[in-house]
Amino acid sequence: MKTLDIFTTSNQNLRRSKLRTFLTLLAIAIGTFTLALSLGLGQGLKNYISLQLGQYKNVNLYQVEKTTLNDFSGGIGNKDPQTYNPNTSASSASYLNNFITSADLTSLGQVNGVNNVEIPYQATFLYALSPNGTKYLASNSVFLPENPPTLTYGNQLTSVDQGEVLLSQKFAPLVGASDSKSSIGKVLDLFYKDYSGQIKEVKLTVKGVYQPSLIQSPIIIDKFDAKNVAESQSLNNTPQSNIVFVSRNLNVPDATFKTNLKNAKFTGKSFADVNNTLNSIITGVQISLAAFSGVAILASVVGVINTLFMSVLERTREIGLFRALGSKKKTIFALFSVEAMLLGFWGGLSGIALSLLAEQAINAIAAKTFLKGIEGIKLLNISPLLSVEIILIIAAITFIAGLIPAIKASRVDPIESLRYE
Amino acid sequence: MLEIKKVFRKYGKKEDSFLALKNINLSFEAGSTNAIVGKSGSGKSTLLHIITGLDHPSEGSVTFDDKNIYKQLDTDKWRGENIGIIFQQFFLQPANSVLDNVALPLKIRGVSRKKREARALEALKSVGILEKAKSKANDLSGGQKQRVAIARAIIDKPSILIADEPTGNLDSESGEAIIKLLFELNKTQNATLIIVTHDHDIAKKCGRIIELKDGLVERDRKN
Ligand SMILES: Nc1ncnc2c1ncn2[C@@H]1O[C@H](COP(=O)(O)OP(=O)(O)O)[C@@H](O)[C@H]1O
Ligand SMILES: [Mg+2]
Repeated sequence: MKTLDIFTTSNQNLRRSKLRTFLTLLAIAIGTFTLALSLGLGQGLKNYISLQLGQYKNVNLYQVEKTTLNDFSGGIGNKDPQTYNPNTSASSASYLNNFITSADLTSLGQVNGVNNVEIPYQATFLYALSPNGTKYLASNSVFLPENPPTLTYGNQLTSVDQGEVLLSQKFAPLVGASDSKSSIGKVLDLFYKDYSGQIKEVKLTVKGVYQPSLIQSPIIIDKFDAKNVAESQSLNNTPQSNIVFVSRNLNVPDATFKTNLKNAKFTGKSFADVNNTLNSIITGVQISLAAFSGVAILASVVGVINTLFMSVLERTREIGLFRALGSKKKTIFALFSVEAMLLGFWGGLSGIALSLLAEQAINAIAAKTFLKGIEGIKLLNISPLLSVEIILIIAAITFIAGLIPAIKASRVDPIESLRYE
Repeated sequence: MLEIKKVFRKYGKKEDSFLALKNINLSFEAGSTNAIVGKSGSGKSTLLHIITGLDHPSEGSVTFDDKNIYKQLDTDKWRGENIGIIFQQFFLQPANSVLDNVALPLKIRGVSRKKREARALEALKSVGILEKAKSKANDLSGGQKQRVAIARAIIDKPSILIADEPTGNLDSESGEAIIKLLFELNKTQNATLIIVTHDHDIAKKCGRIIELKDGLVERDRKN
């Protein structure tokens, strides 16, 4: 038989028992639907994370802190009491007081593989005063040359800039601009209290505008001004920080570098590590969701096997006729396995169609409710490629499910099936 | 020429085995008409199944133009191309059109739709129900259904037409017409005709009558 004839014949055969076929397709569609939604959710989360972490352009940037020999959570409620050891314990067994001192910076600078150390100066502003008199909160961070934000307009800061600032797209109102593009060149007017409690002002010119993300502050200040403000806010003009950012010399491999840090009593974690951790968590979630939909698919597979066995029983006469008319066993086998595959194909197609509708609806609802205001997130992401892959996988699964009924069909004895006395 | 040599067909295992055919030796000349008669259980159907290659003999051989149909030929392909089978029951696909039913053997053989439908119309014409081509098989009378089954059997111009009690499910009038048609086809298409029948009138019309009894050829005579 011609391949096309096998497909059209099998497809016609599906229509012979309409209700049974419909119910089987429904079961497959439900299984496909749950699979598509769970994979789509995982994909949506992964896309979101990579969009956000894409901001971490430099994966060789390490966040480094001093290794505390007693777990810093010793200060947190659910731990057993720990005894004080003057040699190993930090002064109050508290994470907060584990500041990096200038002596620490010196020893860190001597670790093999350390290229550059950046101190994350943290300026704390009372508010930003917009030209129309509104006072806005001004959460900010210092510009790290190793980790620049993704600009949409304007120019990137450099490590030697002074009196300049980068602004998130959404923060145009702080400089009295109507849109993000026109905020370039405008002045951001910031107020802060210094160490003595006196209110001071600093004016910074907007040099560039960037895509907002969860991991970057909405205001990024040049290093010079951040350092200035932070120092004036600190005891002895010495800003205190638990962490520093260290860039690695690429000639020293990641593992060696971490060992070197460890030997110098520091702990380092690269942005790549953060990336991997998050992705592996999501993959884990995705796998477990897919496993649940696997149960639904398993149930529909049982339906496919059952449907096909019934077809074989109902059509033994016809199988015998085909054989009497010169059909080979493998043609009979092909007819039934193609029928199984088509069940998967049509069921999968309907399931994908349903899940694409659900995707639209759920994303629309999510964007209006719990994801409101979060940029760039699509809760569900069922791409065309994923859709095609799922349909093919479901068709392959039902094909496999149809193997035993198809073998049974091909082994029907034509003489027995055509007997009529 | 179809030749059956020293054919035995044994059913069951050693202790309670049963010989349905015992040393059958027959040959069928091309274009001849043959009747196989005998009581129920004498082995007629078993013999037909072996001739068509649907069943295998326990011993002995069946050759077609000196080729063993089991060993030297692709049995299913050979049957499709050379044997037209007509059953007592018509075995049509009830929901399909008459045209599709008749074209089925060519569809199985991988002939294109256009060609096989043209050939099906030809076959329907030669059995005299061309006008029913578009009807659903289920809507026909018994005699018409058997004509459709015959059209299906002759669509690829087989060299052997085998009919197992072809009139068993028909009234005497349509039965006679079917037999007339089979003999016509034997002449026009030069097909060897082998009819299994209870009916002595039908048997008498054949050039040769083979009578089976308990799996043996009891009588084999020219008419
Ligand atoms: N599959 C089978 N298993 C056991 N015995 C069988 C089988 N098929 C046929 N027989 C026996 O073989 C004998 C011949 O059967 P069959 O060829 O159908 O006779 P006929 O067609 O002449 O009535 C009968 O006795 C029948 O019971
Ligand atoms: Mg019989």
